[in-house]
Amino acid sequence: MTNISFGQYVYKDSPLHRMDARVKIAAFLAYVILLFSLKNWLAVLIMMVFALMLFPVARVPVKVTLRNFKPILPIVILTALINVFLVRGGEVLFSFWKITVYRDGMKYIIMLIMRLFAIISCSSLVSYSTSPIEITTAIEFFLSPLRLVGVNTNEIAMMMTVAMRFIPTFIEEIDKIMAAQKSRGADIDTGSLFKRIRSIIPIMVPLFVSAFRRADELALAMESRCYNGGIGKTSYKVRKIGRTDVISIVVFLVAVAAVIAVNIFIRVEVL
Amino acid sequence: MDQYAIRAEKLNYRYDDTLDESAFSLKDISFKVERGTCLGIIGRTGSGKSTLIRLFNGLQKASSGKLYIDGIDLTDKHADLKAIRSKVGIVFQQPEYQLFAETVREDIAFGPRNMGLSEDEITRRVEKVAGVLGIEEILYKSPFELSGGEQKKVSIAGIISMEPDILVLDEPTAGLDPMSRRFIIEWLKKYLADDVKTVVIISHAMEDVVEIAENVMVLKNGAVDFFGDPRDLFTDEEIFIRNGLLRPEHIEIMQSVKEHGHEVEVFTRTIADAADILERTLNRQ
Repeated sequence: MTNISFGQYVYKDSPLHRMDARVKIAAFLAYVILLFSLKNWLAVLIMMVFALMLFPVARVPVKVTLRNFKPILPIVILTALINVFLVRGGEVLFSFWKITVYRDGMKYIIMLIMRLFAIISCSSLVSYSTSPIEITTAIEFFLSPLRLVGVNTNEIAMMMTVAMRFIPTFIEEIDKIMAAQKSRGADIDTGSLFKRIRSIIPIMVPLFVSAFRRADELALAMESRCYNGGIGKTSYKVRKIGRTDVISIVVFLVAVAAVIAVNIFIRVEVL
Repeated sequence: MDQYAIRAEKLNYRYDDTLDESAFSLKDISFKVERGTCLGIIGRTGSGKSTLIRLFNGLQKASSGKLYIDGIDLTDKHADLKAIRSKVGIVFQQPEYQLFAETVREDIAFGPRNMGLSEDEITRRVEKVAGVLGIEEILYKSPFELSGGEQKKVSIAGIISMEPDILVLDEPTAGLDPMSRRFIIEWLKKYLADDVKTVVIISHAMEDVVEIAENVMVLKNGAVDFFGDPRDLFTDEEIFIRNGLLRPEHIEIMQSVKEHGHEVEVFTRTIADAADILERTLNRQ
């Protein structure tokens, strides 16, 4: 329960931590788009390696990626199996019984796994090196055009900050509630579906009661510090694009150019 | 049957966290609690008290070592946790984390119902514990409209109704008003008078521990710093200083009286006992 990896920000002194969150998020989006527009497996491999190379730079252990990859592994395996058996095209690699595996299916699935792995690596990097506050400030920045049509982006950012701030708190609370109810003989992990849904009630009720109480207390604490919905709010820290950001952008663009060049000019047919 | 209600041999527990492998939260904990006695566990926040009691009913598994509850080995993979949980009742610190039902009555009945008891037996037990804890009048109220003291009593009732042999209380008097607190301690004393019931109490309130505990364990950074007679503990100021704890005021007062050159017994369990000793000393002079 306690090792759910969300809001996994760990402070370290690294270029990636120093980077502006807006640059990181924009780069991440560009990375994902590029990853899915590439058709050349070598280019995808290079992008994956590029992401993995950033781990030592950010001083984050690579095994973090493996841990984040684990929860989606069943889905990956299922998609892999479906695609390997259903995609037809290219020559037949091997066949047994009624199943035939084609070259295109194999190719497709290897690309898919590499892409997913690259995305998970990159998103782990971003979430490990960017504090939730920085992420919301960045999102507030990206949403700022909406202000023209009368959307209060400050409030959206505040809601996100509060939500993220309370995730670890609620995980801890669920843990405590489950301990208390299990101690009273509550059976949470076994039984029929209906029984399990019923067994959630003793956990959800205290959790919601606590959430409402906390919301109330937080609202009171914010109001007593003159929070008025964020109108005319200024930031304590004003982020400016600095030297690290410029260098990162240059490195990123060079890497993108290299990958595109590989994608267009180099063809290595292994599969 | 084992003579000891709880017997721990070199218990170790470490958090399962890949990012911090040095995080040991319990180190080589060994102790024994005789049936029908009360063990007090003290130590500063983060010393491992709450982690330790989570091992007592199998909420968490020890990484190594042995833990016997009434002779049943809890570190055995095949230990029947459901049976253990009706034998060891844990009352956690915040009652709001266990109260959920529409009425107090239903909430108290939750434990016995999970044990598979008959409705008649459940009713009998709920009425019995409500009588003992003086909460008959709120049985049909919602647990969410009660005061902190009442919620605490209801949460204790929810555990007592399972009639556990070993009752574990985590900070039973924290955050309570003085009246409720007095009530809980007096009730615990009565509960302990029945000498088959074993009690483990975690508390920051030293005056509670000194009043009822037959043995005290001091935990420091997940290891046992002291285990034994409270008389030896509460007369040893050094242990308290190195653990960042304070002795009960009446013991501090008796200590000063002694330091002023009067021959008095420093250790007493209650303020009343200390007052008696002072009175006798005054009369002698």
